[in-house]
Amino acid sequence: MRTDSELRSEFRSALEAVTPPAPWLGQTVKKELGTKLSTRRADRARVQLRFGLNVVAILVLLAVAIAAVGVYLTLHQSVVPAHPGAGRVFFPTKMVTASTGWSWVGSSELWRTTDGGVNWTNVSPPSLPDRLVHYAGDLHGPAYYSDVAYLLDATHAWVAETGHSAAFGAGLYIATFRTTDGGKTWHEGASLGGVSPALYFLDENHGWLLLPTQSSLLLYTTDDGGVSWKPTTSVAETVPPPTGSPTIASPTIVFSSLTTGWLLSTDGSLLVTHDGGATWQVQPLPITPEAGGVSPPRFFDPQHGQIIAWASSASPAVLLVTSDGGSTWVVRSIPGEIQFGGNFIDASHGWVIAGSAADFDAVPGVPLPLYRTEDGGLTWVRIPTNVVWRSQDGHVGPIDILVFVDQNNGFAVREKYMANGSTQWLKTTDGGRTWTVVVEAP
Amino acid sequence: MAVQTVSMTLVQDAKKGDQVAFMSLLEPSLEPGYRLACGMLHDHQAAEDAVQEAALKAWRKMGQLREGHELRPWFLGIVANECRTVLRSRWWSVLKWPESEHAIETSPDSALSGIELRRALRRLDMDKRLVLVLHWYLDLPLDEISVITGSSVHAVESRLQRGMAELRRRMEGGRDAN
Repeated sequence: MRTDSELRSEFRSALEAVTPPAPWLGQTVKKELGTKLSTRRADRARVQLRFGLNVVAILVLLAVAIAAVGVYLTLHQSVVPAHPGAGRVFFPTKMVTASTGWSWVGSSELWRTTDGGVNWTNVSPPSLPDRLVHYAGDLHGPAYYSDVAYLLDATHAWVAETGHSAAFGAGLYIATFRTTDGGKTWHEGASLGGVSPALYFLDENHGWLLLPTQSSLLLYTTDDGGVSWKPTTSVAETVPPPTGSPTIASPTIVFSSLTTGWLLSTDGSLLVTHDGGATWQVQPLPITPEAGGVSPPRFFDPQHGQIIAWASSASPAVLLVTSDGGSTWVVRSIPGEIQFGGNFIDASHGWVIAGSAADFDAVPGVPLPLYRTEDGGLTWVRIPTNVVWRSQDGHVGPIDILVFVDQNNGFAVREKYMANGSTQWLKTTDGGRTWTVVVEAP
Repeated sequence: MAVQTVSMTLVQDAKKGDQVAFMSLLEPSLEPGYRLACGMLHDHQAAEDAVQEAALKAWRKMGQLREGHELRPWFLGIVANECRTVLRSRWWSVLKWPESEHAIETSPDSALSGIELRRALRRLDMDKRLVLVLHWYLDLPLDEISVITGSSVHAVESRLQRGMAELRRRMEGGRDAN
């Protein structure tokens, strides 16, 4: 079996073999550009006359159509959609209860549901007048943002927006907003110069904000819910990245208490602090993910936490578990070769969708491979379900987002698999055995 | 900062119809575009055609390039769309691939391995193939790939992981069969 680096090297060689040098490409493109543009200009003149006649015909048809629609609407009162968030499938960022949850959409909008995902309301904070926005793909794609949110519980949330203003040295700054009433009202906190922040809140008052700079990470803390931020320390990214480690878009911070926390750096290193962020050391772990990686730790209380780790991108993930606040970690296995989604509600109860690549690629109709543990990952039991992993006709893709809120209630999302397919929001009330489609959207 | 100013001036000139300014902007992205097209199509002539067509489309759409937006991911997105169009043609995919395999390979060992890998790669769906080529062949970071593909970084990571697993399985499966 090839290692990741062997496969990558083989991949590169195989494609180099079909990429002969083309030093003339620039000249060819320039020449072709000139030729095609002049040809198209000549063609355009011929087409313009025909086009003008067509436009007249189309305008006449449009006038008739508009008049017909006007008559129809007068006779039949149109039904205005009751809710802008109705009939849409949102990806659940955090479901707090069987009814209430949040969805952080496109790193820019915060939506909230109070009826188990049937209807969603946009509860975003005010947008900065100079908010930073990028455009995806060939500009026909949607706008996207580099903002972050932290969702603590059903009512407390923070959003850090990025703006660009001459008032800050580098031009870019972070403004934090806080809500304590589920997004009905927002309060703007202090602004900090920087971009691509990470946020973490331990409770409604105590939080951390991490701002990467070119050579280090600046850590700020707050004890008033983000009204003010105090610089704590600068963390130098001096730990050499593991060979072949995956690229992580931005660093992440997690705290299990006011003093103990972890920082997952962009190079894949996991650091730990025991003095509130003043000093950081490499977190010893029972496995060395040389070509894989680790997730940020997740803590259910100050003592019990988990990390998902994989030794290489082709290796199955394992669970690293601590019950002494992170001093020691033990390895627990997770079923399957590939894990497509999973969720723990506490240190004991968890679910995972897991299978092999062959399962994923197999003929549609394979039952949803859902496993459950009640002892923190020591043992897993496959749960018989009433749904298939992906649909028979390929119209909807595999279920790969799974969120449970207690031992019975959970949600899942099937992503659209084909351009004309649909996305589904599913719900279970019996621990994953029976699933019903709550919302289906194109 | 000076480079950025020159680049912004070039963008403005290119938007006004200055072909020299447009080519100055585009030239650094042609080679990555060509590598992307070769990685997707496995046929250098088809790849050249795709890059030329993408360049023409980029010229026509230049007015849509937003201020401060980098040209490379924008152009690579157009090249990727061109490759999709080519790959959608059943005729091309059936007739061209076997020819190009024999035309380019030289060393028998590397040829066998390369053929096996490219065959496995071609069996992946286009989204997974694109992410693998962008990350493993063009060495682009995930966040730039997310811009090129118009997907979230999470979706790119997910496609990459699935693509790698599927590629590995198909290759190991192919060897077992041999």
